[in-house]
Amino acid sequence: MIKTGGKTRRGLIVFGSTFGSIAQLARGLWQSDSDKRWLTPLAVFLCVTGLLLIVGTAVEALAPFIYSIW
Amino acid sequence: MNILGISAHYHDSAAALIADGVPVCAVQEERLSRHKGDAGFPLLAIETCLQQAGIEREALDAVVFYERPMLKFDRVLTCTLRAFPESWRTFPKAMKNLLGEKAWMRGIISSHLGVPARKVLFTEHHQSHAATAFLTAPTRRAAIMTADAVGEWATFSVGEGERGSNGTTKIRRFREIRFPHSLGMLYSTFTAYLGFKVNEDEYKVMGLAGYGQPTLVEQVRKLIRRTPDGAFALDLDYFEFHTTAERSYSLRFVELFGPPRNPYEPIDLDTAEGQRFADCAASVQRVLEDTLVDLAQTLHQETGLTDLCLGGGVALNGVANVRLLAESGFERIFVPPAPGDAGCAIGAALYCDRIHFGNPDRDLPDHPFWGPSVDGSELARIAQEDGHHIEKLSENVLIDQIAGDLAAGRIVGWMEGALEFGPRALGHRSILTAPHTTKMRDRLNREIKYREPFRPFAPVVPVEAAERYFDIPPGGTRLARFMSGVFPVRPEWKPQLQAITHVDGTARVQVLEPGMAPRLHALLEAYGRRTGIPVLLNTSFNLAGEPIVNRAVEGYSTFLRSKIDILVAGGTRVTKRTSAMDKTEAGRMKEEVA
Repeated sequence: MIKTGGKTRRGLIVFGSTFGSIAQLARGLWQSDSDKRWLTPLAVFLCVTGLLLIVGTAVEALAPFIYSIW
Repeated sequence: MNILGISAHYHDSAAALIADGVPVCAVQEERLSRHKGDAGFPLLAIETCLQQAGIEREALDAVVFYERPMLKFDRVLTCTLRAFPESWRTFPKAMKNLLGEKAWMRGIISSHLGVPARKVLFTEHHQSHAATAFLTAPTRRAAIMTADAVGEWATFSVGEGERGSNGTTKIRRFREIRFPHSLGMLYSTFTAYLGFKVNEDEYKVMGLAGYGQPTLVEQVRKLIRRTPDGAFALDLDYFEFHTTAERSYSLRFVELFGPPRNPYEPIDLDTAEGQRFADCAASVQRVLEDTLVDLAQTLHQETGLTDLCLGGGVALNGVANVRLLAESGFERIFVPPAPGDAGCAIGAALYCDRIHFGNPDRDLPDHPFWGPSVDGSELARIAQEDGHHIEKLSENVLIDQIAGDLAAGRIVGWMEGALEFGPRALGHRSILTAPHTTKMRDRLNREIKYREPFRPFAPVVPVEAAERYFDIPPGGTRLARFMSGVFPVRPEWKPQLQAITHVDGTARVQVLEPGMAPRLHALLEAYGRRTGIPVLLNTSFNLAGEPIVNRAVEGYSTFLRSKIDILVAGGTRVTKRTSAMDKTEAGRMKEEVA
C-alpha cells in the first residue's frame, strides 16, 4: 500500500515544486516563436493565483485569509 | 532501470512500469477503482505496478507523465484569450481546473509517491502516442501517424521511427497540426450532436454509421477543408468546443444538419429522423476516412516505408484502419491494443527509457496482457460460500466442457491469466457465446449488456481459420490481432454468423494466434470440432456502465447480477444454483446451433 503523506505535507511539496514549473512556463512563453511574450505577465499572475489556491487547500488555517483576497 | 509511466487527469487514467526496457505491468485505474473512465490520479494502478514488479517506490529511477502540463496551460490560456469575449464563462473554470491541480504534476507525483521532484519527467502527448504505437510494434522502421482530439497543442502528427541494429532508437516528428484543428474533435462533435458521450462513445458513431448512407458528405466537408500544404483546417464557425466546455457545435452546425438528437430518446432507424442521424454518422465517418487516407498516402510517398504505426484515439476506428491498409500504400499497419490516452502511460515510459536515457532497444512481447492475473481458487472459495456448483477441472476437460456449454447455447464468462491493457476484451476477460443466431445477440443485449440494438458484437477466430470466414486482405491479420480492423464476413457464412455480422455485412474480428491466448485458442478449436465453425462471439466482460472486470470477485459479481450461465476463472467452472435458462430454452438453442 502506498502511504501518501498528510494533506498539508503533500500540499507543501506541490507548492515547493511550482516555482520551477512557473519559471519553465515563463521562459517558454518569452522565447516562443509565435510572439506570445505579452502573455508572460498574465500567465505568471494566474500561476501565482493558483499557488494561493494550493496553499489555501493544503493549510486550512490560512484558507480564510487567502479567500478573503477575493 | 525501473521507469513508471503515468497517464491521468483527463480520461482513462493508467500506469505502466518498465523494468530493464520491458513492460512488467500496465493497467487502467478504472479496472481497479471500478469507476468507468476513471480520470483521477492512478494510485491504485501505480500500486499494482509496483506490486507486480516486486519493488518499492524508492527503486523507481524515473516517473514519466505522458504530457507537458505547462504546455497545455499555454494552449488553454492562449485559446481562451483568443476566443474572448465568447470564452468569458469558460476562462475562470479552465484556470481553476488547471491551476488548482493539473498544472502542477511534478509536485503532485512527487507528493503522492514520495519520489524526488528531479526524478519526475515529462514527454509530449503525441510523443507518447507515437512511442506507444512504434515501440510496442514488431517492426524495425516505420512511418508513424498519431491523431486524437487534443494533447497540449498537437492534434495530429506524422513522423518516422527507427530501431537501429546497434540498439539505438529514433523517433522523429516531421510536422503536426495544432488545436483547434482536430480530426478527433470533428468526430467528437458529431458524437455529442448524435447524443452520445464525448471521449467515450465515439465507437457508437462508428457502429451507427453502418446503418446510414453518406448522403451528407458535402455538408461535412464544409466543416473541414484541406489546406494547400496538405493539412486540414476546421471551419470554426460550426464549432464551439474552443470557446466553451458546454457545447461542441454551434447554431450554424445545427442549421446545416438539423436539430441534435435527444440523448434520452432511443434511435429509431425506421423513422426519417433516425435515418438522418445514421446518415450523419456515415458521412462524418466517410470524411474522416478520406482525410486519413489522404494524409497517410502523402506520408507513404514521403517515407517510402512499408510499415505504418498508428496511435491516438482515432486509431480505434477500425473501419478507417482498414481503408488505410487498402488505400494508403502501406503494406502493414500496427495499432497497439491501447492506442488512446491510457496507452500513453506505456508509451511515455518506453520513450523515456529508449530516447531520454538512451537504453538499448529491446523486442517486446506482442500481447496486451499486462494487468493483474485472475485467481481461480478465489472464485472457487467465494462461489462455494454461496452454494453454487463448482468444478475444478484439468485443462483438457475444462476446454471440452466449455465448448459443450457454448454449443448448447450457454453464455460463458471467461477469465484467465493477466488482464488486458486497453479498451478491448481480447480473450482474458470476455463473455463468450455461440455467434450463429440473431436470437443470441438479442439475448445478450436484453439480459446482459443492455446495449443499443445498432451496436454490433465482435467475433474471435483462430488465425488458421480466419480467411475461411472473413474477407481479410494481406496485412489485415495484423490489424485484427487486437481487434483494430473491421472486415467483411464472407457471404456464404453470414447465415451461420448472424450474431456477429453487422448490418453492413462486416465484423470487428479478432484473429487469434495460439501463442497469444493458448487456452482461448484451444477452446475455439474444440468448439469448431463440435459445431464445424471455430468462431465465437467475444464481448467484454462487464455490464453496461461498468469497467471490464479484473479480479475473480468482480467476475463473480457480474455473473450473479446478469444471466451469464457459466463462469470460468483459471481451472474453476461455476454454474449458477438455478440456471437462468430453463431446459426447454436450452434445448431450442442447441437445435439452432446444430
